[in-house]
Amino acid sequence: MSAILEVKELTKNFGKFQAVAGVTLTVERKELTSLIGPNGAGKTTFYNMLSGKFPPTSGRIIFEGRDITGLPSHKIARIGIGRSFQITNIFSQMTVMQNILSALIAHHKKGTSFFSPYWKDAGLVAEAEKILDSLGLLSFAHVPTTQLSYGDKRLVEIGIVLANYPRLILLDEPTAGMTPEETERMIALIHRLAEETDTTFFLTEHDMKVVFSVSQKIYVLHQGRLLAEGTPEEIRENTQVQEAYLGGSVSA
Amino acid sequence: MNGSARKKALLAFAALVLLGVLPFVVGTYSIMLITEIMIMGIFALSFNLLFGYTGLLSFGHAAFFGVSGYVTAFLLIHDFPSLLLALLLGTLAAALAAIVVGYFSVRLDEIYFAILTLGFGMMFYTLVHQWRSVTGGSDGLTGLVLPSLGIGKLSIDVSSPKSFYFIVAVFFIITILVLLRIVRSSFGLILMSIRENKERAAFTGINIRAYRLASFVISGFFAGVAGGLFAVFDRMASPSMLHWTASAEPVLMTVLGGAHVFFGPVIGAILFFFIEHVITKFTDIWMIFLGAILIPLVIFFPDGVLGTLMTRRKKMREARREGEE
Repeated sequence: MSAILEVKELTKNFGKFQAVAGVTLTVERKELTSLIGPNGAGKTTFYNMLSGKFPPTSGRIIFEGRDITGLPSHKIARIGIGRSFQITNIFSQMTVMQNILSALIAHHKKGTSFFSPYWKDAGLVAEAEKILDSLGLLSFAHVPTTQLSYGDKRLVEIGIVLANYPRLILLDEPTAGMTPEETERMIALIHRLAEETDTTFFLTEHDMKVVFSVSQKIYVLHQGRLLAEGTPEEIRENTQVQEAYLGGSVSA
Repeated sequence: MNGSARKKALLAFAALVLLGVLPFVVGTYSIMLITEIMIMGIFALSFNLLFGYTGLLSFGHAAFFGVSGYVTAFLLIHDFPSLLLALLLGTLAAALAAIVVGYFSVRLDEIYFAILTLGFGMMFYTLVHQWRSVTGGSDGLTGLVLPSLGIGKLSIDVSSPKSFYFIVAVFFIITILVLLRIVRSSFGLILMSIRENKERAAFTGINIRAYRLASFVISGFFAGVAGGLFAVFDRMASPSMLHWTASAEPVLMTVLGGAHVFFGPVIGAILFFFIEHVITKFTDIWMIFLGAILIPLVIFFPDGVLGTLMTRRKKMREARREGEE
């Protein structure tokens, strides 16, 4: 196994507040890894640095052996890291198909085609249909995303991410706000994509049931610091982790 | 061809016939009015590439309209031999100005973008107002000499309202065709994605600034087409072309017609001139009445007149289809 992502001493200060304090961790290729921690532990800040939303105060981010620290998000996306957001982040006043096509156009660098109608690019449309089909969204292809259910909107976002064919996907709380049925569907989807594609998944999650059912490796973040790391079993038994979660048990 | 495509083709054909026939059935005054509507239609369409499709509200678009107008006028008062070349140079000057203004402006969003473009607009206004030796100061540049337009063996006298009408109509149609093609292209879809969600767009690998700048320059280019034609139409270039109130006109027209439908700005331009034309028959303070008309229009047609009508028709059709099922 080789590392796809190495994070070294990553730190982010907002004024005097240290949101992430010297976190070092590794994500192995094809090992489904999770980053967990109580609210405000710094998970999203950590993700925002990985995906280039803002640069870290200090530390290094190495992706596939290449230093990507401080690169802007569009460059990181092109290098091969995709992400979803805690709050659904899609192109709302567009159809499901247009959402996926937009990402495909970006991926294939066809955005400078000023005069060719995108829907006449048969190869592109077929590719988008394939992605939608794998997500069970094909019948909604020409529906504006505003008319979709919450769970389907989240799937559209996954579709946008997949259309970039990233080798590493960061999922920020993929099941947040979902009904139990939608959560089941999302878990099944993550499992399937992890198996069928070469993509490595690295996710944050609130729902411990989801974390323990999908993860092979778990990192625990607490007050910006790495508190623990290990297999789901090891994390479940870790007393420090149990205390961090308000002294409660994490065996939920 | 399906029903809706056939209907669209028919509508386009009818519009073309109308444009071709109108100057032979209406008087000179109306010919000039329609000419001005088409010029302002080009201006509003150019503005809407940025506003409706890219999600950037430019409040300084008159700068590009004016720069092109001044360059075109400057060339034509100095006995420049070709009208088309003068228009082209004016338009290129506008595009150049758009590269500079856009470079600084597209990194900002929303109100900050609007204010920055407004600021640049004021700078250009002050420049033409003060640089008397070149721009004629507050008098502007007057006394344009219009060379006849030679295409092959054909020589067209541009100074006749009817022939100028047709020249403008050709530019109007070309602008529509090119912009339609652009907004429906892959590039256009990326612009829409940026409008809808620039963060998501950036995380799919899109360089937001580069695309916004491209949109800004194309938009400035077509604003330049309109500005050059306007200077020829008016036989002069005056500082009022660059005043911030001139920047508000395409904004008003677009909001009036609808920013999210391609032809919204054109319908807006027609409405704008119609309202102005009808009211000025009764009073000079037409702006007050324009305001009084705009308020209910914005309330009852939130997506613009054309935009709201099209949404309603779509909803009615959907309701009917559901009723049939």
